[in-house]
Amino acid sequence: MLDYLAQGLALFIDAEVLLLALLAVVMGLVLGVLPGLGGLTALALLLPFVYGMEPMVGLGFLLAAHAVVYTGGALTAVALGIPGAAPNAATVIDGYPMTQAGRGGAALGAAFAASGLGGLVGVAALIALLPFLQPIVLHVGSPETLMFAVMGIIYVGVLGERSMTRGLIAGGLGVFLALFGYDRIAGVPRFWLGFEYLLDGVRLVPLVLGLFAVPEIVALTLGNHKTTDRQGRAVGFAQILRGMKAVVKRRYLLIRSSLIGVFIGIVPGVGGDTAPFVAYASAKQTAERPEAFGKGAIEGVIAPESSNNAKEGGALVTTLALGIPGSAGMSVLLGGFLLLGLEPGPDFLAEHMDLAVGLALILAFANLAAVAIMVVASPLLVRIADVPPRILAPVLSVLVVLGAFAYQNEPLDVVATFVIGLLGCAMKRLGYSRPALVLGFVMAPLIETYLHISLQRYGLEFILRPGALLLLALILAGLFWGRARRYFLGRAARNGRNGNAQI
Amino acid sequence: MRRSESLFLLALGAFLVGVCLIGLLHYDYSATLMRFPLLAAGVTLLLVAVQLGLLWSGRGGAAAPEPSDAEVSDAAARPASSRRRAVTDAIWIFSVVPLVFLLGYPVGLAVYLLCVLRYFRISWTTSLGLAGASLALSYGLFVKTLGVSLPVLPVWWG
Repeated sequence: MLDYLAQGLALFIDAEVLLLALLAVVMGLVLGVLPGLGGLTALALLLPFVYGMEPMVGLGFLLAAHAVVYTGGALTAVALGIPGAAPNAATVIDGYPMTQAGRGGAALGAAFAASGLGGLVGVAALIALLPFLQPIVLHVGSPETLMFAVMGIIYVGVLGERSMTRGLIAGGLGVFLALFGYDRIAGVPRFWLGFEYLLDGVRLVPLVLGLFAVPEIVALTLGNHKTTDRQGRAVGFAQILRGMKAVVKRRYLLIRSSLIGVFIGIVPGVGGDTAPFVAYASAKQTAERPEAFGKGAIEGVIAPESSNNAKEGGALVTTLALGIPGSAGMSVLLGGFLLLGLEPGPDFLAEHMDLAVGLALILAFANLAAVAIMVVASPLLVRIADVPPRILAPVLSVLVVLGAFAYQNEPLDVVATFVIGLLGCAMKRLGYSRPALVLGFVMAPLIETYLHISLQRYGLEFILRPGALLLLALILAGLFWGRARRYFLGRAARNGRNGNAQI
Repeated sequence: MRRSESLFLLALGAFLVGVCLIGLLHYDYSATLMRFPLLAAGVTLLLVAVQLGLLWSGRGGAAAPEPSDAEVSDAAARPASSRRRAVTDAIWIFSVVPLVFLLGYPVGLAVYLLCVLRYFRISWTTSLGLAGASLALSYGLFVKTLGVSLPVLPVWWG
């Protein structure tokens, strides 16, 4: 492992990698501060620009931006009461009351320090787990790789969503859309309908931009901008430092919340919005004064923020080792693997352990850089949140057009982006999982190839191999858990309506 | 919502069936080449049928919108005049595509920003400033500095 650590460090200590990661951190923070634009939109907007980069540079760029979006989101959650992204929603509960009570600086300091240190706990967990996973993935054969890919789509489609069928339909559509263009095995163009553009198939960047960025632009245009008064927004450095010290004093809470984030991040398809709320609930349950929660308890800021950033380290574990994304953002990151000529799945860790370690170091760097930038620039950055959506939406449209074109200098990619954007708007409105569609799209070539190899080598009996059977059992368990989860959620909602909700 | 989801699913089903039929009947692809597409489309169609069944039997109600979807859902619940306004707003946002093809990318993007921002009643100063910034970004940075072959001239220019 020490060899890999040294190799990963060598990849990491490179001027181009570090400079671009720093640029990505700034971009991620700005996108995080803009309300409504989460990590997925950030990744979608940045994805076109990694095409042609070295794998470490490109993946580091994407990961650094994605990792810090929620640190930026904490600023608006605390200062304005508007979560920059959905996972910051738990931070509002206590962060905003602190601002209203004139303790906004302390809340921000606590949020930044908890985010940064939580991110570091996530990285430590990632580096600790990778050596255990590598020997396992070295023994994974074609049938198991196939089952891992199918499992990823099903888990993201079923567990992360409110409707199991809708999630699975989205995953299936993603797989089907990836089948346009030249077939990888026979080399014959499929379903190109006489359009030369379709010979290369549906392209990843227009797909991701269309599914994630365009619906957000439309929502910004149609939505009403929430405004808050400016009370408590003045941010003093002394208060920020006090907040940061409070995190160090409550280190056990920080570590416990971070480990909750890591664990939830590892479970495929669950991460995202869940981790901060679970960490918040745990902090409240174990607090000396639980009645202070919701009224401006600093523990209510530390717990969700530390788990929020720690979960990215956990989500990277399964993403790198098995090709199963631990969060929706990781589905898009897997798209970055394809753009950079890397194949996600168990083979990745077997062949690119150095890159995996390098990415873990990037994650640590991004978290620390984000804290430093936020401490210095938060008084300025908080003003970005005041940009009216009706200015933001057309500006983002311009960036989408430039990003879509710059990917392959293909004007039709711009058209494809906005056509797919209509599909994205419909899916968003009707509750169909867009991350599941992207994951299906990214994994389809791998599934088709390994299905072909498995059938050639073992026939239909490939499913009876012990590893494949075990994974099949896990897939069925995931489907069962998806149903059970919805039942419990439904019951909780009914209880809530009857006034029996217990928090 | 239930009607729009039914239409969405029917369109999706028609798309999957149509593409597979084109592969089988028009292109006459081999069984090996069509094996995986038929499997993917078959499974998806089965799920589409299940979801339609759930919808029509009243058990597959509309999914609660995500918190970030609230704006879009609000738009659906508005009165007709407001919905018309929302549709017009969305058309303005999508007008970026024809504009870049008609005027070329750098000019098209700048004109788009100017027109849309003015339509949203943003001040002339901000609109002109952002349109100028867009021109500087697309022409100055992308074309001149980074060497991206962004079409400067309109498509119809040749």
